[in-house]
Amino acid sequence: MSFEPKIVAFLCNWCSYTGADLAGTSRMHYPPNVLSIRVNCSGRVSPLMVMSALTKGADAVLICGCHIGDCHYVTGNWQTEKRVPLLKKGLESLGIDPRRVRLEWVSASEGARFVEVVEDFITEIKRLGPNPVKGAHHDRRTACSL
Amino acid sequence: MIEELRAHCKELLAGKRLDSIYGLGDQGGAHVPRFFSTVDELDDLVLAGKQRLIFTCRPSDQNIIALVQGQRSGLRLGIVARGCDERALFELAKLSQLSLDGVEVVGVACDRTQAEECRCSQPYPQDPRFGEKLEETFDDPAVARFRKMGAEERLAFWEHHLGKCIKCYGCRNACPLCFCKECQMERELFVRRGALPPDFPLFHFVHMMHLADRCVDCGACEDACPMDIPLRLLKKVMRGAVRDLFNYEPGIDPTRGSPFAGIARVETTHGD
Repeated sequence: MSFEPKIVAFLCNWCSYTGADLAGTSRMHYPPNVLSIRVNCSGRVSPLMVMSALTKGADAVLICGCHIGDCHYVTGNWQTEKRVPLLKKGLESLGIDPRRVRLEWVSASEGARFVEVVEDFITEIKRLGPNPVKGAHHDRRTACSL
Repeated sequence: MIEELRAHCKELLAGKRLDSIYGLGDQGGAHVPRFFSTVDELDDLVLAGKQRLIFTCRPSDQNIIALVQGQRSGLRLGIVARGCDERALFELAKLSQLSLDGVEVVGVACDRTQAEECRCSQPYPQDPRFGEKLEETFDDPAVARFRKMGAEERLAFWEHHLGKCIKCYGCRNACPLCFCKECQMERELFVRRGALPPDFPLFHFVHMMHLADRCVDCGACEDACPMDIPLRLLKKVMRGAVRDLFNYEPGIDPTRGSPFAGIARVETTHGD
């Protein structure tokens, strides 16, 4: 069976979630590998949440927010913009491919773009293969149950 | 050098320029951080190798300087600080954990042996009164070795080292810049209770991300670790990442805040 990646997508309530919704209501098809989590703002997504998703079974994490300048909270996505590059460096230094995390700006009217982003991301993750730290969590648990 | 330092400090106290001096004192052979309030006490002032001043907030809720400042307003305090001590002071002040008002730093630069032993990136305070600024860098060979590693090698390296962790929280407790009352490293959402070794890599990832823009490279985490985990390497790599991305180094400039501290937009400069 071919590898079907599991992708956790943090979508901002105001743009990207609505964008994904638009993709749905417009009857656009996209792969079911994406598990979307609605957050109030992409600035709410902490690196710890991303790493948490990666260790608990996700192969990749997609973070989507409003375009720069369009944030509902004015400065929220500026924080995401600063945080994600650092997060990628952190992943890199732990030996996890930084391409497993992607930040994309998707507005509420860009349903088609959301589909495009997801499809492109899935193709890339399929190429990268399963996430090496996924499940590290559970193996260890059994290895040292006292 | 120590005699000159003592004489200088005595002068500061005797001349009523300062009320108290915080530095390392000799107590029956052990070197402990303490306050010196009289001239006679200053005979015990020492400079001791890798030992640092303590600014940590544990087990009490506040760091010692803030505690003293809170009890006596207008206190004029001298702090005998080396490079790492001073950087920690600056960072804590930027993060509103203590006030630099009324604080006078008596800067002491470390000598070459000390700097080499500590693998220090900047073994001197901004304005050293004693000792000389050593301009050469004491690069950590471990960082250069690490940079050459590929992804799989890195993963194996950290799985091995972080797998040794006994979750004693020593790295966090010893860190001068860890002061949150509610620590994410204790939060069950991220770190399961009772799992040993702690979940790889989440547990250490918390520390590493939170300190990326404030680590002053003092090495206290690694010194505190009973399992010899190369924690400082992890911190040095993240410090390097912040430098590459934002051209920012914590502890160097007391007036420049971290790019993550404010809500302002900061665009990344693309490093290597």
